[in-house]
Amino acid sequence: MNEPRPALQHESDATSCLEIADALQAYADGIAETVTREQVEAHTRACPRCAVELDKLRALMRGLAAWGEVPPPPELWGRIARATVPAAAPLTLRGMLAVVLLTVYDLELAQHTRERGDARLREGGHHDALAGIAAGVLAVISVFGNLAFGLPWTALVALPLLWLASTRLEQHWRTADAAMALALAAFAGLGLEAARWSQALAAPPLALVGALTALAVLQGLGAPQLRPLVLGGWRVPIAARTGALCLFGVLLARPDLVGALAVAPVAAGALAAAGVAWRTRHRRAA
Amino acid sequence: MEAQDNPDELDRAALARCRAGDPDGLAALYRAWAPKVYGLALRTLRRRDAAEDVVQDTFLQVHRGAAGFRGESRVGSWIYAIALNACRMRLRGERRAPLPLERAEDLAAPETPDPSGALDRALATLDAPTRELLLLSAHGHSYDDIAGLLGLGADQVRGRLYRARRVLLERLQESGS
Repeated sequence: MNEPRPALQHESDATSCLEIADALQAYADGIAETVTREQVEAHTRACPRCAVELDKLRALMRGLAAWGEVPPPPELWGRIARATVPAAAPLTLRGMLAVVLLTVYDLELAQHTRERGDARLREGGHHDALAGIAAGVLAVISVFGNLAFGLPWTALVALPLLWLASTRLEQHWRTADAAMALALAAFAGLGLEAARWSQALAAPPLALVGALTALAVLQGLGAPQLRPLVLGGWRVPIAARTGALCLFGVLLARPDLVGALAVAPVAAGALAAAGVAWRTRHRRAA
Repeated sequence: MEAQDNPDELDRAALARCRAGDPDGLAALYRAWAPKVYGLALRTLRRRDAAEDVVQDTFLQVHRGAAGFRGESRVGSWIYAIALNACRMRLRGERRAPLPLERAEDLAAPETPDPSGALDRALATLDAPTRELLLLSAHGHSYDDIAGLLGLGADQVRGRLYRARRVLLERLQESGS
């Protein structure tokens, strides 16, 4: 870089070098027009100083390109990837309201099933009934944990508890209402868990909850062919009430899931049609 | 040119995947642009921790803003605009002045192919906007793209860029490189 500059032969050489200075940069950037490119090439063939300047410029641009591109630390991507996973729902007033709402439903359900199951309890089977209640409560608590505190994997923990609860309760209280309600609560939790990764995954379980809610609305509007509607031994009214409360609780806790819940009307329509068809066939068989 | 050979088409496809919730979409954009964003931030802010924060903030914003990207500019230009903004906000907060030549060795990244650190030292004597300009040009942006990113006219970009390169060459010559 400290080469002696060759002496200019003529005054016109200096003018040419000054004129060509900006053209050298455009040429090095690869954006010089054809005429300019030819002028630069002709000048640098005749002027060693400008030829050296062009080489320096190109070396500088190569150095800048390499200098400006630096691989980040390998662990940085991990931090970014973890930050893009949907965050656990923070504890908010909305989340707490959802907990309260679902607790109210739980108490209502417990009241209903206790009234129906007292006679059976007096006949025996306390241990299984207690196990069912405990499992059911734990299942619901795990779903609450997801709703209010955003604890991960709570819905998956709820599923085996739900199975235990439903089998014990069904056997000893001869009602599938509690199991249905718990299933809906678990589906709501499962939907919330799935929504951490994709709203598409969240749509089916939440649609089930929404569909039963829609059925309750239809029944309330007096659609006679839906009364009474029994789905696999589970009565719709209790389940739909539960579903409505679950859905409202979910929306309170996670209003960003409205998109996933939009499939509920479609699912509700399909389910209602299936229920009507089943009911019609059941009546004929009877 | 086939769509899959066009870098901007590849970036748009990656952004579409990101928008659909596919984590590989953001990963593809990160692989393509993180070295340039990190280089921009490191050379502008001259601190590794701040540069890492800029990269993180940039790609989180890309992730959040994927749905709102209207496609009026190249995806790379959009990512650069986010990164530049992040760098400027940090600079505004820190009010950092150009360091004297002697302290620039602290900031040289070990990966740079400039083992003597002469280029680092020379660039450290320039102000942040000039370093930004040189970096954007070095990363292959056209004068029009740079003009859009920096809010300047294309002629202004050309004039400032040419002056910056001449100054840099003089500084390198002074340091004996």
